[in-house]
Amino acid sequence: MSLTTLVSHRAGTGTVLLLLATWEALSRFHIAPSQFFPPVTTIMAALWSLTVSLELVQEYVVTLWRAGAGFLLGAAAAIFLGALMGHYRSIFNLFEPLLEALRPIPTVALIPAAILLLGIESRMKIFIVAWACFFPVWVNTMESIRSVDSELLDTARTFKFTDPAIFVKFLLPCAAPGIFTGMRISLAFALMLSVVSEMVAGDTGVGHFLITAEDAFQIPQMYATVFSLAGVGYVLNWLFVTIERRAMPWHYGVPRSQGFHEVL
Amino acid sequence: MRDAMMASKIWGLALIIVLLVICEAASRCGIIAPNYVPPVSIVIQHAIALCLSGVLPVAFAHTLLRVLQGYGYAVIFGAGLGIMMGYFPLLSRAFTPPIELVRPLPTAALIPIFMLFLGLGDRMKIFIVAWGAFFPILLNTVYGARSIDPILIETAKTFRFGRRQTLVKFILPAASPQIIIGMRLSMPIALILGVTTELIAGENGIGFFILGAERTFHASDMYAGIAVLGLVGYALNWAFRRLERLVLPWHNPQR
Repeated sequence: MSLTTLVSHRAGTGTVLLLLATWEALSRFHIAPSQFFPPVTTIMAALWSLTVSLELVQEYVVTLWRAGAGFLLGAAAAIFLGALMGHYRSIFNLFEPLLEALRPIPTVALIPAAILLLGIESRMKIFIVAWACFFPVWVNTMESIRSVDSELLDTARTFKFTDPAIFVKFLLPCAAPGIFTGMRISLAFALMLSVVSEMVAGDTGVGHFLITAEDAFQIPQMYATVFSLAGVGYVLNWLFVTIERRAMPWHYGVPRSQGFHEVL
Repeated sequence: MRDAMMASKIWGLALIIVLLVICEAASRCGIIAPNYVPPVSIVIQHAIALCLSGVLPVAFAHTLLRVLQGYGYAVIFGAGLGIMMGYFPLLSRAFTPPIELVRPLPTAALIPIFMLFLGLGDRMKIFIVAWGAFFPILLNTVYGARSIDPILIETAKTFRFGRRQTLVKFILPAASPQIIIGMRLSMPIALILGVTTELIAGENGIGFFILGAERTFHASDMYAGIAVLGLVGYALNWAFRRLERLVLPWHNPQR
C-alpha cells in the first residue's frame, strides 16, 4: 500500500525528493551540523559499503535468525493454544485469566528477567521475540476460531468427523485469515524485539551494531543501519503477504477489513 | 449471570494460584535456584516494601510523566494533522509520501539517532514516545475524517457553515470514534517505548529500575518491578475504556 501511494502521488514524490534535496543541501553547506546530519548521499554510500563488505549482512543473519526462530515458536504456541481455547470453553476458562494477567506487561520489561534466566545470547532473544509474537496471534486465532459458523461444525459432526479432523479440515482453514492477520502484526514485533534485545545486551546482531555505531560516532553508518532496518521490515512484510496469498488461495480477492495491520 | 461468570473464572484463578504455589515450593526447596527465581511470597513482600518506601512510586512517576507527555503530543499532532489531512485533499497528497517514508522506520531503532540530537535525558525519551504513538493516531484520524458521509458535508455547506465550523461541528465529532481507537492502540505503544528508552539510556524510571535490579542481582526487586508494571499497564487500559465510555457515550466498542 505504502509504495503504490508513493508512486501514484506525483505531488508527493515531489515532496519527498524536495525533502531529501533540502537535507543534502543543508548538510553539504554546513547549515545543519553535518556531523549529526550527514548528507543523504554519504549515508547511501555508507549503506553500500556496509552491504558489500558483508559487515551488516552478517549481523542481519544473526538478527533475522533470532527473529525468525522466535516468531515461529511464538506463533506455533499461539495457534495451538488459541485454537484449543477458541473451541473448548473449559480450556478457555482455564488459561484465559493467566494469559490476560501476563499480557499487559510490556515485553521489553521482561528482557532483564530473561537475561537473568537465559543469559545474554540467542536463547534470551529468541524467548523475548517468541513472547511478544505470541499474544497477537493468540488473540486473533481465538477470535476467528470462535467466529466459525456453528452450522458448519454441526454438519461436520453429523458426518462423524472426529475432533482432530474438525480442527484440521474445518476450524483452521476457516480461521486462517484471522490467524494470518495476527501473524503479520507479530512479524513487525519480531524484528523490533530482536533488535531491541540486542541493543540492551550481547555483542552481536543489528541492534548491537547500531548502538556501537552511535557510541563510536560513526554517524553515516548509524543512519544507514536504521534505513536498512526499514527496508528489511518492508521486504519481510511483502514476503509474508506473498506467502499468505499462496497459502490461502480461497481467500484471495476478498477485501481485507481495515484492521490492525493497516495501523501498525 | 454474575455467578456464572465467577464460576467460569474459578478454574483459571485456581491455575494461577497453583502455579504460584509450585514456584514458591520449588524455590523454597531449592529445586530452582532462589537467587534466580525467588519465592513468590518474598517477591510480594519486596513489592509492598518498595511501594511503601516510595522507590517504585517515584520510578513510575518518572516513567509515566514522560509517557503521558509524549502521548499528549502524539494526540495533539496526530489528531490535528489527521483531521486536516482528511479534510483537505491537497494536504493529504503532500504529506502522505513523507509520512509513508518515515513510518516504516522502527521506532526503537531511532533511539540512537535521537540520543545524538536530544541527549540521554527526558527530551529524547518524550520525543521517542511521541513519535511511536503519533502514527496510529494519525492514520486512524485520517481514516475517520475521510469516511464521513459526504451528504453530511453537503448539508453543512447548504446551511452555510464556514470551514472552521464544519471542521469543529461535523468532522471532529464524526471522526472522534476513530481517533479514540487510534489513541487506544497508541497507549501500550507509548508505555512500551517509554520503558525501552529507559533500558537503553536510563537515568531513572521503571525500566531503569528493573534493569538495575537485574544487574545487581536483586531478583526479587526485579520481579516486583515487572509485576507492578503489569498492574499499571492493566490499570491504564482499564482507565482508557472508562474514559472512552464517558467521552463517547454514543459509540459502542465491540466489547
